[in-house]
This record gives sequence, C-alpha cells and structure tokens, in this order.
Amino acid sequence: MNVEVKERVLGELEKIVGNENVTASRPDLYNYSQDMTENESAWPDFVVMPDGVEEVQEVLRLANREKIAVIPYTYGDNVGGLTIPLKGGIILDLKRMNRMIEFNEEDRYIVVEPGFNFGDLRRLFREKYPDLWYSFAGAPATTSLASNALLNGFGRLTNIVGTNADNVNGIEVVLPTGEVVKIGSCSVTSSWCNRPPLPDLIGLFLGWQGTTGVVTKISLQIWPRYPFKQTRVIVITGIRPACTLAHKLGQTRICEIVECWSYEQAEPDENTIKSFQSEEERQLRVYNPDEDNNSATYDRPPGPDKLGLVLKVAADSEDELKAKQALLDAYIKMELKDMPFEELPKSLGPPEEEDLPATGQTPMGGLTWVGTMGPTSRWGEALEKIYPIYDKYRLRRAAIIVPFRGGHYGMLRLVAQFYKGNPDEVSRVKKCMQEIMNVALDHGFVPYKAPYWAVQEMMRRGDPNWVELLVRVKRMLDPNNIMNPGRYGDIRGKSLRVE
Amino acid sequence: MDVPDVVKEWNIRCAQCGDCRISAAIFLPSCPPGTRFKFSSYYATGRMLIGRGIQEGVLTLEDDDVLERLYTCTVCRSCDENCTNLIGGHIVDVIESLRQMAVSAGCTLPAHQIMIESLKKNDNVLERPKEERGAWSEGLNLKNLSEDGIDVAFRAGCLLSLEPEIRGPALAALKLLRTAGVDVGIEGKDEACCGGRAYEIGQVAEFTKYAEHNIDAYNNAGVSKVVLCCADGLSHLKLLYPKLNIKMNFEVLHLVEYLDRLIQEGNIKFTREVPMKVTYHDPCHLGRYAGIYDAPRNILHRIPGIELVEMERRREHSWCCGAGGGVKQAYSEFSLWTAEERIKEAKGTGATALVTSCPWCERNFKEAIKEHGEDIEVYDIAEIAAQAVQ
Repeated sequence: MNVEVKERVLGELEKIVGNENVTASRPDLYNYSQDMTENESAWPDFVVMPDGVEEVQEVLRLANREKIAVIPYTYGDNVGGLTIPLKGGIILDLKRMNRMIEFNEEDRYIVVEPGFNFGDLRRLFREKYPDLWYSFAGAPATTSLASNALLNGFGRLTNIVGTNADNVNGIEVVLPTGEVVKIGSCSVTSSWCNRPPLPDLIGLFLGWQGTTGVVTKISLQIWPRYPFKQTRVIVITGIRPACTLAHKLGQTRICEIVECWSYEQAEPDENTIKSFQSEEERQLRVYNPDEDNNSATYDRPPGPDKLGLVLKVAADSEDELKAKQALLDAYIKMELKDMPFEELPKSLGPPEEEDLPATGQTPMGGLTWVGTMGPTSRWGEALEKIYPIYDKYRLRRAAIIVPFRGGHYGMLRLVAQFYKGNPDEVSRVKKCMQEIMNVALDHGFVPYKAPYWAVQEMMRRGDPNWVELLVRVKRMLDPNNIMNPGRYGDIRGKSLRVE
Repeated sequence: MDVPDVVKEWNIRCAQCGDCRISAAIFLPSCPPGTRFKFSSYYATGRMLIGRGIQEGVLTLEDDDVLERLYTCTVCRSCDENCTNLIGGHIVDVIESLRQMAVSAGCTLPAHQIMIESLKKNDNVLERPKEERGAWSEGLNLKNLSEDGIDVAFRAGCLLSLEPEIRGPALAALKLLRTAGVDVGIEGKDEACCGGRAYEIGQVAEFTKYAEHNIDAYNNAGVSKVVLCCADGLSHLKLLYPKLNIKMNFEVLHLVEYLDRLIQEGNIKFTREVPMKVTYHDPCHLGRYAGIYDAPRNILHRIPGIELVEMERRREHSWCCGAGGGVKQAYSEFSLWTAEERIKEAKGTGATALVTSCPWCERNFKEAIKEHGEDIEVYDIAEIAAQAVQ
C-alpha cells in the first residue's frame, strides 16, 4: 500500500472509530503480525478497534471501496495462525465490543458481543447463576466466546453437547459489503432462542475463519452445572486399547468429559524406581515430566505408548454419581479385560471444577497443533501412523483425543510445543505438522482452526464441486475478497495480493 | 545475566496466550495500560513481543511509539502474577531490561530526563531542592543516625520528606515507633533517594550510585533495622539492593511488618477507638513484590472501631494505583485514570476511607479524587494506627 493511500485510509479510519482506536505504528502492527504458532508472520497496515455495529459497517464499506483486506480479531489465541494478515490490511480488533446483550436463564442462552470472553462468563455464573455452566475450553480466560464457537472450538462438556459451534442459536453479522443480517430465530422473532427450523444460514459463517463477514452478536446455549462431580485418570499401555476405550466410553454418554492424552515420558530406571518411597511418589515422578525448557527435541526410547484417559462424571445426586461410577467401572473392566492399566491418585488428576486458564503452559514460547475432527473408531489406526512422524522429526509424541456428542465424531489433536529460539526446531515442527495433517486427512480427520496451508491442502484434495461451491459462496458474500483472504474460498492462494 | 541476555532468554518464551491480562482467580482486568488502551502492544505480551522485535532487528527503539509502549507499564507485576508460563517474575525483568537498553541507546522520555537531572542535582526525583529534605522532621526532636548506638533507622523517602501534603504517614510512623519504645533515628537532610525509580526507568547507573551510598550509610550507622513507610522504597532496599552483592548489616522492614511484630511482642497496643469503615489497597511493591499481605490486615483488625471491607481485587490480585514505574511523571493522565479505577472499586465496597501503605499510592489516589470529585478519604495505615494509640 503506497504512503498516500495509507495516509488517506488512516484518516478515514480515524474519523470512523476515533484517533485513539486506530493505529498504524510499527510496534502495534508487529504485535498483530504473528501468534504463538510456527506460522510465518505477516504485517497488517492498520489495527482498528470499533465499538458498535455501525462502526464495523463503516470500516467494511471503506475496506470494500479501497479493496483492503479485513481480519476480524478478538484475542489472537486461536493456535492456527488464523488472524495473521496474509495479505496485510486492517486487523479489526473487536475487544471493545464486549457487552452481554441478554442472559436468558429460563431458556438457557446468552447473547454477547465478540469481545465478551470466558472470564466474563465465569464471573457472571459465579455471581448470579451458580447452577449454570458453559462448555468452557481449556483456554485462557480472555478467549472470546464468539470466536471459540465460530471456529468450532470445543469445551469440557463436549461429550454431551458437541463443539460450541453445535450450540449456536443465532448470530448478527455484518456482511463484507456492509449490510447487517440476523440469522436464527432472531431473524423473524424477537427471540434468540433457537436456530432450527429455518434454512440454516449460520453455516455461511461457522468454520469460515472470518472470511465471510464479521459476527457482531452471537447467541449460545447454556447448560446445567451438576452439583456432584468426580474426575478419574486412568493410564493405559498401548494405543489401540486406549483409543478403543475412549471411543466406547464416548458412546455410552456416562461421562461429561472423556479426554485421552499422551504421556510421553521415559520410565525411570530400576534403581530410581526402587528409591521411591510410595506408589504415589512413583506416579508423581512418572507422570509429571521434568522437561527441558530449552528444547523440544526428543529422541524417543523404544517402548510402549502410555495414554491417560481423563473421565469426568457429573450427577444431580450422590446416588446418581455412585451409579454412574459403577457403570464406568464395569465398562472399563469389560473393555480392557486383561490389558495393563493403572488409576492415578486424585492428587495427580485435574481439579474437579476446572479453573481457567487450563492451558497456556508453554514455557518454550511455541505451541502449535494439527487439530482435526473425524471418526472416533479410527483414532487408534491414525495414531499408529502419526506417532512415528514425531519420532522422525525428533519431537515428543503428543496427542489428545476427545469424543463429541456421544462419540458421533471426535477430535484428534496432534500437539507440538517448541522453543521459538531454535530455528532448526521450528523448521522440524513445521514439516512434522504438515506431514501429520496429511496422514490425518488420509484417515478421515478434517483439520479445524486450520492454518492457511492446511486449507489449501484441503481445497487441493477436496471434491472439486465442494471447492467450487466454497468459492461461489465466498464470492457472493465477499465480491472483493476483502475478508481474511488467503483462506477458505480463496483459491487464488496466499501469493495473490488483494489489489 | 546481562541485559540483552535477559531479554533474549525470556521474551522468546512468551507464548502470547494472554493469561497475563486477567486475574486468573477472579476474572477481572489486571493490567492497567492494556485495560486502558486495549491494543496488544500495551499488554505484557505486547511488550515481550516488542523486545523480540528489537532483538531480531525488526523494530528499533527509535521507532514511533516503541518508547511509549515500554514506558506506559507501571511495573506493577500483575502480569507476572498471572502468567502461567514464565514463573518467577520475568516479564517485568524484560520490560526493565528493555528500558535499560533504551537508556544505553540514548532514548529517554523528556519527563524522565527531568527526573534524572533532579536526582543528580537534588538527590530526589521530585525536582525539590536538596535543602528541603530535612524540613519534615524539624521540631520533632528526633535522633540523627550520626549519633552512636541507634537501633532502628526510620527512612522517610523522597515523597514523605518533600511533599508537605503527604507528611502525615512519616509523623504517624514515628509516633508509633516511639510509643513502642523503639530507639529510632533518622538521616534527616542527609537522606538520599533510594534510586528505585531510576532503576525502574532504566537508569541503572544512577540506581547503583544511590544503592551503594545508602547501604554504606546504614552499615556505617550500625543500625540493626531500616524501617520504611514507603512500599516502593521497601521493595527497592529489600529486593533490589541485595542484587549488588554488597553486604547489608541491617534488616529492611516496612512499617506494617515491624508494627505487626511489635504488636505481637506486646510492645504496642491500640486502645483508642477509630470508628471507620475502610478498605485496604495492597501497594504493588509491598504485595506482589515483597509478598506482604497479612501484616497490614492484622493491624487494621486490631484497631478498635475499624471495619475492614475488602475489594474484590485484593492481595496478589490488587489493581495498581498507577503511580509506579515512571508513569506518574511521563503519563499523568493515564496514571490518574488507573487511580480512579481503583477509587471506584473502593467506593463500591461501601467504605468511607481507602487505606494504603505507600505514599506514592496515597498521593495518586488523592490527586485522582480531586480530579474526579470523588467523595472518599485516603489514609496511610500509619495514620489510622497512630490515632488508636494514646
């Protein structure tokens, strides 16, 4: 963008949102040029913080007229490089739009603006609605409810309610051309209560990574918070038995949460094991890895894989809890038969009521993943192919699998932490993630919060008619391709600039 | 570890997750500049990234706004408190190291340049003549540290010595110490700045000069304890001075710590009623820096008539007063905005008075109250405690 245009656009943006809420200064732009992942940085030209639908409309109309890219942004913690402005343009930082529009206790939904975050909702529950809950992700408290839902994020009620995208009742969206549209029951009534039975236009905005419009209000479903809860952690040796048990338990719907995590820590040697004073100490040492914080490079010693299954049972009464635990025990016994497993003491498990933030512990500065969703029956088969890829790139095997909606589908997430100060490690992580994504796709798992290179790969290998439909939808809504270009529906790819 | 190493070691590890922006346990904003200005560069994560950009040569200290982003941080350490990544307070270490790099490169803010010139000329950062320093203690008949055998040095610090409107806490502290029978003396006009504010704005050479002078003065005086009412001074003497590896033959205590000890030992009793509903503000340098949360509350609970009602952001989650890190001098409006946020929170408790234990907090609160026409009193804890003794 030449200096003259930039100055003119800056002046117009200042008129729309006020001087204080627009910036083109280098330290600000640099801040929005990257995220925690290994994805390459790209600088925006402006960062703009609107407050209200009208300001969003004005910014989009200006961007359309000038054909400048616009990237909707809330807190930037998506772990997919999704707000890195591949073609420069305007970062539309929506933090100031953080109001709660409605909390409907009777019909159990909440309508919020995109800046309203998990912390805001946790606070609201604590102060006013102790019997209600949301499917909170294991993410920082600043995570936007709207972004999390729109990007198919999931939370800790997922085995019951699915991803948070499954629980969107309605949205208000500003189209790239500036019109405001309401979708869901709110489009024909005054209620934000439901999404069916209308033709489901919400699909034009869910999972599109901000490439089709800017969502300015969202209605999301709220769930009961059960008074009796118990969390157990079972460590199973072997990929197949662990994945099969997670798959089967997901289908039973006994647990609110079924999460299966890799434990990638070499067993201590025999002498060290003898030195442990108690079984609990042994488990503490084995399952709380004391890792090197300067390097994620890891040469895996030979040996079986260990996977930990986190199982949370929730109930309305103590009797119900006991009955569910008994059922859970029976299932575990039936599925694992003579397979080796051990149950960790309570002190090593997660807290009963998870406190945010639950993640963010990335002491090397780098965190990335290939997050995918697909058939829970194929977890084991896929993981057996994926784990050797970690070994090839000398990285620690790390996977999380989670069933959604009673196991009808589920997540397979392959994670890598890395030290950002080591270019060789960053390069290996990048190659490893790309290879893993291909194997995941081969096994029926589709990337979510997919970085641009994963989107391109899906559009390359996907049904051409599906790709054509994506492109047509995108062009219909965004004729000048201003919304987060280089991602879904943009077949011109990263190299083509919006001019 | 030298300055570039500190920056390199820690800023690369910030994952920009955003945990530092909200007090984890209560889900309320914790970072004053981030909350006020909202762009990412105003949060700890943003400053860490600026450090990375400078390290990688993508940004320079001379770039527009880089200094402004680095110096709008009040170094309150709420980011360090909430960060789950860089355990041990490394975020503010990086920010202060970046400020040191800026000073080395000749990049300073005009307001801070004035502070440093004042420090060099007057031994204080407040642009007050050196000669005024001892005026606060005139007529009090206090021992001077030049006399032999004094056990405890009371250190007034720049603000209490030189700002007539904020002298109350120093006078109250001395009343309390004398009531408890403490053999206390002062340096009076010879007292010099602790150098802490210079450290916070990146002027390490000035800091070192004053730290060495003060350690030497207290060692030579042979005191067993140095007691301060100033939370900033406390943390600088207690936490920064030891980094110089010069033997300190004295214990450094904030008045609230010492008073709590004196009460427990039975050396002082609160007998007079002070009927007041108060809320207590934890100064960052006393709380998050030095970990002193219980002592001031113990004192307040022992004063007859005091009803203590807590704010939600308290103890390690306390919201900063806005005066620290050179922000008060360079960005006064933002500094007062930060104080006003706290005053609103204090008023929300129903308290009629906001009590603190640092003159920097007290002054900023009082100025914000004046600016915004608020109706709440502000006291130093020493002033309240002094009312309760005969």
